[in-house]
Amino acid sequence: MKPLDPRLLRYSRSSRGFLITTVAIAIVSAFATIFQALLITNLIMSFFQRHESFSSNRNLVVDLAAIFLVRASLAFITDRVSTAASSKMRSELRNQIMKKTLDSGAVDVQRLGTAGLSVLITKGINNLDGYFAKFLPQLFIATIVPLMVGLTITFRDWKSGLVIICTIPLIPLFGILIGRFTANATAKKWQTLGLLSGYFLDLLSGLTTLKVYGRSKLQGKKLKQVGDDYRSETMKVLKLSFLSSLALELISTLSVALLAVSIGLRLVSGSISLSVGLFILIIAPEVYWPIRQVAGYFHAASDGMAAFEQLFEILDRKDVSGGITLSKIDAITWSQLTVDYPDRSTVHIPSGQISAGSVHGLIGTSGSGKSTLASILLGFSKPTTGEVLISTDQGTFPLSEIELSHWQGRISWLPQEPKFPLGSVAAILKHAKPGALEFELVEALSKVDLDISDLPNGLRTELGTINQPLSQGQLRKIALARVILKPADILILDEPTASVDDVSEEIISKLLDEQRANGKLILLITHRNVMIAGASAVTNMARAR
Amino acid sequence: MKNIMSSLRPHWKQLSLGAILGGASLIAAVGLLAASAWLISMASTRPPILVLEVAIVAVRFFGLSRGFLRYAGRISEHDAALKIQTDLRISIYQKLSKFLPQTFVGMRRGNLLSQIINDVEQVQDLWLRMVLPWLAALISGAAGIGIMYWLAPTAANAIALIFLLTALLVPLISTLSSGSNLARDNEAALFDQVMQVAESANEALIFNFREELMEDLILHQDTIEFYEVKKAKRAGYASSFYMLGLASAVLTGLYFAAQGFAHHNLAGVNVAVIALLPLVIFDGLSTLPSAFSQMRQVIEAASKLNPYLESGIEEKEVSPQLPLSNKVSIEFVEVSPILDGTSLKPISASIIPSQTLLVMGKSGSGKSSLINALLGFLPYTGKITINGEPLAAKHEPLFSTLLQDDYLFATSIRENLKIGKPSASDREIDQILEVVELGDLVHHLPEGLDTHVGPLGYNFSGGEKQRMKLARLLLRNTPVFILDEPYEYLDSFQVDRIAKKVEKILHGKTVIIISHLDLPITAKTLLFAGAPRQD
Repeated sequence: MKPLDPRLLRYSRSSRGFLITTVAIAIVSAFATIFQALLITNLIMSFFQRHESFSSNRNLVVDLAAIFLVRASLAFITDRVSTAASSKMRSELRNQIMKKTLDSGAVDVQRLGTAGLSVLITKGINNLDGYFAKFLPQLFIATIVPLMVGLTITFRDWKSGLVIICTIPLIPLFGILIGRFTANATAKKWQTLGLLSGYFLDLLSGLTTLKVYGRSKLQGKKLKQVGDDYRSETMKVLKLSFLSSLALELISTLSVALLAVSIGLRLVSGSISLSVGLFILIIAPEVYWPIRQVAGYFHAASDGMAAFEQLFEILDRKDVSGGITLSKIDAITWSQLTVDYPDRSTVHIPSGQISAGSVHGLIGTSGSGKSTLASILLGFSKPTTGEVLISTDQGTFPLSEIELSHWQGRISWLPQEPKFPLGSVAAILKHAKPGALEFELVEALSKVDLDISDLPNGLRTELGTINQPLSQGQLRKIALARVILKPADILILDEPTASVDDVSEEIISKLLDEQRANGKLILLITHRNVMIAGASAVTNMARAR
Repeated sequence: MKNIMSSLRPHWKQLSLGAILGGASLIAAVGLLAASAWLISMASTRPPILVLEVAIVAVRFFGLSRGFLRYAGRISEHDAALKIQTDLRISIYQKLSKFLPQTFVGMRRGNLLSQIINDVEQVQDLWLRMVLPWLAALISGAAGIGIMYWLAPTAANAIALIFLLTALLVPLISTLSSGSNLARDNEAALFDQVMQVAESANEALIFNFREELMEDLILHQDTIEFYEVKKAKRAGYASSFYMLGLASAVLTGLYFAAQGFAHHNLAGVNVAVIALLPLVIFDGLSTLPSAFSQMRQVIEAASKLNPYLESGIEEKEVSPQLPLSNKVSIEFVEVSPILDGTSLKPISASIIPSQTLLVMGKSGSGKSSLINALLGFLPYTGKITINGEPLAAKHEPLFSTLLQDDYLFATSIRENLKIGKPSASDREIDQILEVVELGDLVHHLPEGLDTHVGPLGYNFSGGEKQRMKLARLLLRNTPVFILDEPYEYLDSFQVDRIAKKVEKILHGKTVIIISHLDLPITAKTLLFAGAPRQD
């Protein structure tokens, strides 16, 4: 984990301007700090040693007031600039991630899960605020300010400079040592924490189930116990991280104390002047403070930086797509396809073919790889071995050499669990056929046995809203209407009749005959025997174990 | 806010200990500077070393103690904050389990729940980042001003005034803002949108609505950015104000140091002490501007949690084991469930003990709503009777229900099944898994019954999960079983086999099965036809 990842500059354009501004702010604040200390020292010296009055030092007082004004404006600017920049950079990252996810569809969703991906994109990127708004600016301040202040001190008094040069490296050194020492323990703890903190969400999500099982009281008691476990685990992690800040704090305060005592003793022997001693006393904490602060922000930032790796993994991925576009598609053939899943045995898919104007049925127990084949044909995932060939009137091409977006434009698909974006039934159907007229939509719906009067608001019924007004079966029919609206050559239908009653099943099966007669290539996944009656080929997928 | 405040009552001692320790560590910083300034000033007059001895010890002591005090303070306050969080979660859970599921039927549950989780976490900031640091700053400020008062009372009075003004106004400026804060709503909307995009990413590719999804996303982001910048502005104003407070305190300190020394009210060695003390006295206030700029969000979060915390009626304790009667008959008389304010078509039906009612019909015809009415999840008109008595809460323990959106928890297979019967032995669990044809699969998993279900566990298919839920239900032993689409995602041969086995297991019980497909079992059929809504 690098404190400043160069990839960041590549993916976030705002970050460059922000980094330059931050460096400028750091330099100005270093100067302000030094001058402030100088002016305060001079004022004290003039009162204490030269017995001058406050009013006779008007110039110094005015200068000091001016320095404070500069610092006040710096304070205003720093907060605004860093928050605005952090907000902008997070938006940029989020947009790029979303674009990338949308372009490559299933890959990220499959790998991280819908919830995992959503949490990464919202909470994960939000957690980067600690990194962008606090850690990153402070990183520059912690390099520039101690350097400039340390140099100033060394010029005034090389012995104190030596103390600082000797103690400063201790801070990052201890930081790294303690970090190494605790990294393992902390990583393990965070994992446990993740599990424990997910428990509450899990419990709330399953509350209805607990309720009907009469177990909600019992689990409430368990929540207390898990809460206590969570607390004690969190405290272990926190104790470790507080311990490292304790070490850093000790180094810095003890160094300041050491300087004060040594200056005091050298003053007694007369080897240093009071003005130099006082100046060093005032300014010495400014050497340590920014470094300690950066260590403090590091913990907050590292939460977010964990997300970095996942984000860059998505952003850096090169999506390969061929360049061939097709004219008329005659047949799709697949042979020796296997897919490896990380946590279950390899899925072997028997070879098969669909030709124009025919239905290929896929049956078999759940988990046998039916949806996997669909996902490969849709271009959402790639097989580990084996090949899909597309025969056209201009020759045969492997699927991997065909331009993906063109290929997907030729397919219409009914997912196993259709997910609609927020919008009216009409809007969702028009995705399949932009510019379609209302009567076409009504016609498509009636073809799948959905009468428009069954929808509470007709075509204007909103889907995906808080009170989902439609039943599972109705949603499936809308998805099926969307399938037949799209002017596609290939239809991939995953359980078109799940949650649909027997009457509709017949109608849908007639619809399939009609589509087949129109010369479409149809892949039909089903559990129902009725549905595969018209298929010209059937593959029974046995579960490979 | 009141309910949130009351959650801290049991832990106030530990919280104040945190504040006091935090304050003490800041006092150590004050002491370190005062002692060092005095030491250097005194040393410059070249006294015998012995005179400096006490100051040297003090400098070292303060230098050491600061870190340790801070460490102890942080531990104490974080521990307390986590305890408060646990209490908060428990009260919310208890309250929600009373609300449920009436409030949740059909809601976008994921969003609501993740908001509750976020809100609970956010409320923690109130203590850790705002109230306690503010108290610590006040404590150390008082100590620093006390030292000043001892050396130069007039200077102390003036600085005390500036300090108090700053300590009060900085949080106020950071919190104040005109107009309502929609950031939180937009965060929620953004999460929704992202979920949507993730869920429909594949469909967006095939049906080409990516642009549309991105547009909505950017709109939400822009709004969030707008509010974040607004918040930063508040923090910025507060930081500048803090700087001005510090400036006037430093200048006042210098002025009184000069005046006091000139009029012989202040010893020379204390000039530097008085001049420098304001710098550290204000130290504790420096983190407040950015911390308090979060205040509005915390208040918002607290107010959203409020309804879940308000003390309601205590739920009547119903013993889940108690079998009121072994033989149960159910009668629906002109029952029309009310869904979103619309009554559905009235239904009449009756089931006698040992009978199975197979509810069939078109999707969307209101089959599940009838069951929801029976379970008390939906209001209804008409009459439902259990053994002739009107349906009441006391009948709940009679039912075992497989919901259509039944939930498997992110824990082991064993723990999930034990929700059905907490005392179930592994033997019983194995037997029931055989019935639903999962025995083979589970047997071959490396971790067997300990295999985790859910995002971090084994990737079970839809049909496998459905059968696991069915197994969990079959472990129960109640007189009535209600199964809503129990054989979803299974192939027809498997449905026939399992349905027959389930029929045997549930022999003698009163059973209601909702199914859109016909099952090879002996049952009385209730057919739902036509549109569910009444005209």
